[in-house]
Amino acid sequence: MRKFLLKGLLFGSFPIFVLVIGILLPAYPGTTKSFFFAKIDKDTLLQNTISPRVIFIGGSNLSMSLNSRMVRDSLHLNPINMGLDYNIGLVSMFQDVLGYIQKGDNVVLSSEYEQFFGRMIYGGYPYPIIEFEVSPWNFKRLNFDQWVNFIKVVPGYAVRRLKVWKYFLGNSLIKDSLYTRSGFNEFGDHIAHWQEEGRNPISTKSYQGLFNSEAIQLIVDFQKQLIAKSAKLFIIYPPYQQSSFINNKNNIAKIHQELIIAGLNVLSVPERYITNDTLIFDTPYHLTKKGVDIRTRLLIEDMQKYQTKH
Amino acid sequence: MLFNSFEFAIFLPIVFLLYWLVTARNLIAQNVLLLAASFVFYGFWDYRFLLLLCFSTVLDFVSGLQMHAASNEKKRRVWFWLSIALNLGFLGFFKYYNFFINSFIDAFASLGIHLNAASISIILPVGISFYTFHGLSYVIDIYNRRIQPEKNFINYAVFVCFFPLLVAGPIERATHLLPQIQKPRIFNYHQAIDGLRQILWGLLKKMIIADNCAIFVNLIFEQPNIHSGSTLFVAAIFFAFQIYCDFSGYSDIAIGTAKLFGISLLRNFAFPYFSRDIAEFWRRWHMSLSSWFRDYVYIPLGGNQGSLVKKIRNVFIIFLLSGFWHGANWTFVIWGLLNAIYFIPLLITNKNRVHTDIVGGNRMLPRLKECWQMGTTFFLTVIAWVFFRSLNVSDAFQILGRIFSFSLFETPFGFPIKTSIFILLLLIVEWIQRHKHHPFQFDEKIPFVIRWGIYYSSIVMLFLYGARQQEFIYFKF
Repeated sequence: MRKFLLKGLLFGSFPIFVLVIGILLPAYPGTTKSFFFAKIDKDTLLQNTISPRVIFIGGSNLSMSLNSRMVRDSLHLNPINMGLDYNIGLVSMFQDVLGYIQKGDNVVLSSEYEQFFGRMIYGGYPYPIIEFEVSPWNFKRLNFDQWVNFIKVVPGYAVRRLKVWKYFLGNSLIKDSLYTRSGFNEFGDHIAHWQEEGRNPISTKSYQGLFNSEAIQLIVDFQKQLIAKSAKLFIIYPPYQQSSFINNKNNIAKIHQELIIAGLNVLSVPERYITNDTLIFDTPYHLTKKGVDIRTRLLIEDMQKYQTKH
Repeated sequence: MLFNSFEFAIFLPIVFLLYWLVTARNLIAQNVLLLAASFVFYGFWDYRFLLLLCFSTVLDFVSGLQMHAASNEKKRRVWFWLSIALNLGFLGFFKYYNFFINSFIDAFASLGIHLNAASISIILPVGISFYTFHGLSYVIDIYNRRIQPEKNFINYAVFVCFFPLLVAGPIERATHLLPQIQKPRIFNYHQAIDGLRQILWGLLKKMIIADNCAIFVNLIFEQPNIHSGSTLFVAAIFFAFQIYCDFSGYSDIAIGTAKLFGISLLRNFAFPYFSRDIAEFWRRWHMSLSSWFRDYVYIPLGGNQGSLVKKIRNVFIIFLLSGFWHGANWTFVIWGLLNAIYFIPLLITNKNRVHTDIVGGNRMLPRLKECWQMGTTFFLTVIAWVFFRSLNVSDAFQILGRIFSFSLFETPFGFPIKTSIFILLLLIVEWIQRHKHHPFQFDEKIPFVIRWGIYYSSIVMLFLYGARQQEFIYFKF
């Protein structure tokens, strides 16, 4: 047994050394032009946009599927699209905006359904990219649950950083990609894919993990913090590929029911945002330009209805 | 808890260290620890499933004791059938209730009679088919007086619930596993090292091949109507490797994990795609299930004794049951039926046991004839896998219709080159190591630098090329 443990320690020490090297290596050239670095631009938008404001929080159902210009023209509010990737997790998304909320802000949460299952609210893979490369100064704010999810994805991140040949490729690494920082417009909408055709993405069969009621509580707490700052929270559903919706309709109904029970400002029903598969771009939440405009129109209608009522 | 998850990577070392450092000198403590660990492992999916598992375990344990203690044959038989009925009843309810209800309604609808019967939303407890079969084998063996009942409940519970095999096998037998649980395990360095190697090999198959194949296969099988025959054929081939690497990968991890605890499990796969006919394929594929059906269904039915008609009937029963065991869908039944049809000619010509040796002998490369035999056997299994993977029977026929059309000669869509290279590597490694139990069973004469180099590069590959974590296919069975 002793021999086994000693050999195990010896064997394990080398990968740990490699992991540390992977983490400490400098970022690949051109990294600052990659998709996740748009977070810096979005943070700047949040700081500099003047009232009256509407702040959209969510994942790529916002970054890839919202036309903020239409929102501005219809609602006469200055839009800030904070959406980037749902793997960032709701906890982190809320942490990002809370410090910059101003009196009278309208905050619209359009969360991917996956956030309500398993431990997704604490984040997934892009974490190491965000924390090590994009905004390392935010490291200290991670809570225990975020740390747990973070540690899970760090080894994969560190090993991927060992692709030393990428240091010689320079900017060509991101030049060919559709997903870049420069693909966003001045409101934080990703528009580089607007000229592209749909790519028939595969539908989502089911969500990982059980329904997580902590997600609901998290939103309720976030709403309280917003109210304390004299801001309002609205919940809107993401656009969702029809086939994925059918596969997960019971889970989605459960989310809707729980949000209503929690007394949150839910502006419509999930079915309203079911999107025909022909309008889907490359994932069940990403839309083609036509889809983006339809979704945005629905969203505007829902917000206008609310404004009329209140 | 998935074998390829972060949780398991934490769970396994903790249980391992507790097992060998804290409970090593005490058999009862070892078994209690294994049982507790198994409950934690299983409860990670849904703690409610534990109730059914516990009930099934207690039922078979009590039935075994009662059968043994019964004063007359009638009592013995009552306990036996009670256990069989309850085990199969639970399996039938959780797995087949909706299938039977819907099939019944469809059958009447085709006669113009429209019935109203609501199907209900039933969550299928993970691994129910596997642990039910564990329990059944125990009860049947006691009834047939092949074994004595286990008197210690903890020992019996570990036999049924031992976490490496609990959710997807190998399906163990009391005669093989119980004796190992009844006696103290002593740490065996070589067995533990071999276990770790087998775990690594299983992870490679699952995460690099199966999970990457899944991305392409799911994309194509989701909308078969928009793809050409060539694309569908490539997808069917990729599915053949996906299911093999997914399931045999799981088995390798399970067997490797058990070795870490000083327990040897039954072999489940023996390089099935190197089979020269379907009979050999079934001796190498999901061996623990095949032998289960052989021992508890085929032989009691008469096996290969009696008239030719009876033999053929027995083969059909076995394959249909095997298909139905996989799930409540006609696609599985047809998959089983097709395999029976492949098998019958070998049975009739008495050639079903021709290939019992290892293909290629000690030669570096197979003979041309062997290549042809392996190729045709693989092709037949691929055709059968189309039914296994399709969402419904009409989809399967549509896919086969396209495969056997001129569109087979079109350029396939989205051919996954990287995954194909991994499959090729798999075949090369498996061919070279086909005489071993698993390809990472290295000769100790190989310098440790090379061995460790292989381990390290495998781990790096897992991180670099491992696809997003997916559940094992066989969990739903």
